[in-house]
Amino acid sequence: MISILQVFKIIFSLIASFLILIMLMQYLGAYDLGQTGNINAKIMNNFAGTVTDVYLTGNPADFGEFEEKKINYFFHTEDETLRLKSSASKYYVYAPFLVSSEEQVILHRVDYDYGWWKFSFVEALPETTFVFTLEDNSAESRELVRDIVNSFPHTLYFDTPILFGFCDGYDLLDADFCGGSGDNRCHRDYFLNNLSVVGGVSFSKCSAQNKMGTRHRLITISNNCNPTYNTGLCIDRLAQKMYLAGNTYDYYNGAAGVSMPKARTLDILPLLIGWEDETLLNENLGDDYYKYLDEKFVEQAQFAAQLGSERIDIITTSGCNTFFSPMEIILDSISTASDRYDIISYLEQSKNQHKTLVLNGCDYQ
Amino acid sequence: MKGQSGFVMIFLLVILVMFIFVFMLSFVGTVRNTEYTQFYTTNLLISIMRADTGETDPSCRYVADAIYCSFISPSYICGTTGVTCGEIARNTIDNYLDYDTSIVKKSFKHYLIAEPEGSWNPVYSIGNPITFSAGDISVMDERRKTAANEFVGSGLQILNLRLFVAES
Amino acid sequence: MKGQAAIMEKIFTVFFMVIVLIALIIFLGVWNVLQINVEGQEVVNERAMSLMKLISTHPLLVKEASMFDDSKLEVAEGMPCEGFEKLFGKRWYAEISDIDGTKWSMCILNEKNASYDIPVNIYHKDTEKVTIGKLKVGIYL
Repeated sequence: MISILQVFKIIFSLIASFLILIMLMQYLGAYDLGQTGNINAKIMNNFAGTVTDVYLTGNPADFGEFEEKKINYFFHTEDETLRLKSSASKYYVYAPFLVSSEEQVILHRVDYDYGWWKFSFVEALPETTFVFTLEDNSAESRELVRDIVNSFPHTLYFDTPILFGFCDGYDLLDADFCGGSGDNRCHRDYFLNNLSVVGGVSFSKCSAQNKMGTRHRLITISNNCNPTYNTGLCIDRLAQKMYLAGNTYDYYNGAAGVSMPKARTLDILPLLIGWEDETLLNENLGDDYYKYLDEKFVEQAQFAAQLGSERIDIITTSGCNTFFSPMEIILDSISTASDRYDIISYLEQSKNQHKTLVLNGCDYQ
Repeated sequence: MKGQSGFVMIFLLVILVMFIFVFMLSFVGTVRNTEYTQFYTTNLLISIMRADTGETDPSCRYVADAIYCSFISPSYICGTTGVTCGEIARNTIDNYLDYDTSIVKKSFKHYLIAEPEGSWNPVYSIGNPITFSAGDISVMDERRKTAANEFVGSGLQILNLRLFVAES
Repeated sequence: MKGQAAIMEKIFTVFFMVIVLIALIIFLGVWNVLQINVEGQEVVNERAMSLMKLISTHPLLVKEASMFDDSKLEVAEGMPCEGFEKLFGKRWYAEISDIDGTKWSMCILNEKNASYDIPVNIYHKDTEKVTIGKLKVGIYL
């Protein structure tokens, strides 16, 4: 017959072990098998938070939690959410962003500043080397290369290297051509400092693919893009077309006689980031991103123009009317334009007109 | 008798269990949003600093300028008010920190103090250093307070403006 | 009599053991719910903080970080909410008030919400004066 004391001992030990279990669970919560869902959710939240921080501050940031915990995620462009491949949970990111791959990435903000308005988006890239072949090696081509390269961060002090180089025929040119030395080689700023060095080089079509791995992305600038034999991205500046993974894309080089707008990289960057990866629906990611960024840009530009135009009605004074009138016309053209390239062209005009407004004390920078 | 002691033990057991539950519940943390408090404090400081005092005199147009002016030229009379830079700064800040103005939260108390940096030691007269502070000084006695600071001035005459916020 | 007492004792013993075990299970349940509530509140907090930072720095509303331009606010208030939802997501509202009592608001609904406010500046385009004000951001629950 079990005594009350023994019962007391049993119950007490039950409670004591329960308490110890709770303490253990509290402190080791992150590693509890049942908590895997929680860890993934935390990582996704951290990533969404990091994207927002980079968007707000403009400071690049590394993010390595995907690689450490080996979780698979993907980015759904229609509603700007991050998803896990393994679950239906969505994580919203309230800034336009493009992401490549599923491991250690670096996040960076790209800006298109028009003075009165700015369009920004965040890009996330894993360790990548962009290799250029300038079959068309004109000053304008090198200017394009400069604008493309400036859309990425200088990663010397970050964990995720984004490097740049050249390919000429069977040679991958780096040491002498991409600038910097030793471990510093080929980071953005060194590459840009050295860009003029390739001024006299006559590039042959790149045939060094065997020397390039999955981390290399080849960009050819040519007057003769042939989608059947050009691998990687081929940009034909004069025909204003781009080719990637069997698809053809429009590329805006600016109106004739007008200096090339920086916004032409808006066409190029989504392809460079999405590249030839596949979405879960087996579509081309670069293609997906191209359409997404285009849509975001037009949507935000037209909304901003609408607000800007209505604001002019409120703030215009007799002294500033001569400067505000043309600005209002340009903004109205932006909000009603149906062609994306018209919008970019008007935006360039609005940038100049805004400078005039500021110079005449009618508005601030 | 044996039965009774058994009941007593069980009763004690139940009391013990209840105490343990209460003890565990105390570990369910309240959500204290420190990020919000920091953001609030930093924003309050820069909003105060950048606000117009109502005067057009450049030495004291903005609160930060007025505070700086009170250290550089303490006897300077600001604009059309007939009061010194320091007084106009203090009046403006006191207005903003007044709960009735509905800018600051009633659940916080605030204290702002300006201190010269480094070797700069401005004085009214020998042994009488210039000071500037506004708000509720009891904030400084709180163990848990949030701080923000901004520097004003140039060269060797830099002021450190510090705002402290604590729960009231 | 002694036998009856012994049986009663057994019954009470078992009864109390069962009560304690059930109490433990209920406690685990309550504990879990409390933890989830805490996490839920943290999600709302994070969303509110992100939104506050996004709104107080957006070039369509501000002259510089945390300094709203009253002409931009006036225009924004007149716009339908959908435009801003494309920038900032759904289920939120913002209210900016000036020290003199003037208010501008966006996306206000009459629903239960959790809100935060922070001090900001308001730049008056016509007079070029800067006043102090408040930004209130709410998340609809």
